[in-house]
Amino acid sequence: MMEPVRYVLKELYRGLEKHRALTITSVMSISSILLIFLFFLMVLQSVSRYTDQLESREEVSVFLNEGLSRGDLQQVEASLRAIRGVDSLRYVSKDEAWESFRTDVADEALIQAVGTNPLPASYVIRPTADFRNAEGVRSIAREAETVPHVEDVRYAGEWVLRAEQVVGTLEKIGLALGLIVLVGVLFVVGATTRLSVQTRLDSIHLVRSLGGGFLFNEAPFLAEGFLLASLSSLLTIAVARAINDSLADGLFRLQFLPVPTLALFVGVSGLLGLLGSWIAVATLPRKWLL
Amino acid sequence: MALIRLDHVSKSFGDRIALNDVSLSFDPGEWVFVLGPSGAGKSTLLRVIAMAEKPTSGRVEVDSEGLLAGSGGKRVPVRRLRRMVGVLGQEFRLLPDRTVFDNIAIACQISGMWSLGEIRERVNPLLDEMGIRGKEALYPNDLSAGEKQRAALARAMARHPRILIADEPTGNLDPAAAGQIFALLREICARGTLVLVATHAEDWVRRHPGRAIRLERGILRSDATEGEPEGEVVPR
Repeated sequence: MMEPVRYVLKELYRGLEKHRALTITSVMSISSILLIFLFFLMVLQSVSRYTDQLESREEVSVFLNEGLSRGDLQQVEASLRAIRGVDSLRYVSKDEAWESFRTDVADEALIQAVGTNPLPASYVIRPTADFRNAEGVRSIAREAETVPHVEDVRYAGEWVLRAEQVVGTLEKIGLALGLIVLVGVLFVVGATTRLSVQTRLDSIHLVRSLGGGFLFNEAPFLAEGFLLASLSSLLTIAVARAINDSLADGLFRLQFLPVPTLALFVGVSGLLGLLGSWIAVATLPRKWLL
Repeated sequence: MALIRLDHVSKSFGDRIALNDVSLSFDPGEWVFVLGPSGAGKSTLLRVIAMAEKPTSGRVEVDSEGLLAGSGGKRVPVRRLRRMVGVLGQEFRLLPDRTVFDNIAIACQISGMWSLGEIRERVNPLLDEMGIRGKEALYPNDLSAGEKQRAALARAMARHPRILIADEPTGNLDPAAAGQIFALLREICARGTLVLVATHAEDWVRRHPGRAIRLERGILRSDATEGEPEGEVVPR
């Protein structure tokens, strides 16, 4: 079993060495295409994480009318708890709200200017996990607005919604870009394989006439496609890492993709290379082969 | 029982008829010349026997397994049958990026022989027999024409084929090298291999007499064994 594998690897090496310039050109071309895609994945990951953070901080503030009795408060609390998607409630009294405002502002002159406490009491709603998104938060807020004694409802859901829209758009762009990358890699690997086949046609004809099958004819080319694309993806990761590290911390520095994602990136690239070379070999004119 | 049987075989390339209703059979250990001028159909006949071409009509049987003409015929293990056939051409067709040893070894590997020890056991005697011992580490470009053809013959014989097809095997060789090749082919035939040799050079027929098939524009004109009169087709 090992000997046939060794044969294919030897043929693979022979082929790559014979067409060194073609190999280098192919690796560079595939890497260029993959680099664009990898950076896009990094942007997508960063935006997606930012949205997740927004969602995790998501809360709905329900401001109450002035002068509610204890009974009114109990009624409001019961109504709010009955809303679908409410995980927990926290009551913030007028005094607590004022204290929190004073701490946040920390400007005694401004606080003196405001004078008496104008802030209303409120309930802060923490949504359940499946409602911690723009649509979920919005539905809770809409229901809370209809509860008696509620003066106003505020939430940061619009931001989340917009961020989600951005992520949604980026994902669509990613899908389109992914398709372009797919076609690009298939094209480059396919063209390389065809050139490779053309330069070795005499050998292929001869080996076929001796009765050589898949192992002797197709397998080395398929291995070549797989290797070229895998090598290109590794080069892409190295280049992307170097570029990312060279950028200053801040707006332009993106978080690098985790190792499992990178492993998947290499694996999928290799399979694309395999597919590209397979298409190239399978669609060769028959006269080329016999 | 015949090793190869051709039954009303025709082969056309577009409008050009290369073989026209040819019926022949060949036994193991026969020495056969295929004669005729250029374009007579010699190479096509050999390519059909070597399963490199499918007949347009008729039937070819190799070792009782058929290669049917046209579509819809039963699938035959062409690759396996090809491994029973050794082919030697005018062009030596050695792989330029492999040593002589590797060029011969690949025939063994295609047959599923992967152990280097076994391959050596098979290849080394052939190197001795062909007189190219000591050249096994060289590349084809380092060999003379005669040595290249002997290396190609060694490769053709590496799988101990039951049929050896030689299409103008001495076309690119000087008379001395050609003589060596014919002597080797004769020895191979004497060991029981059916040897089919296509050639223009009829003086080799006189020097190595045997069965002679003559083709003309794809038609079988004569099939005579030494001593039989030419000019009539003897069905076999």
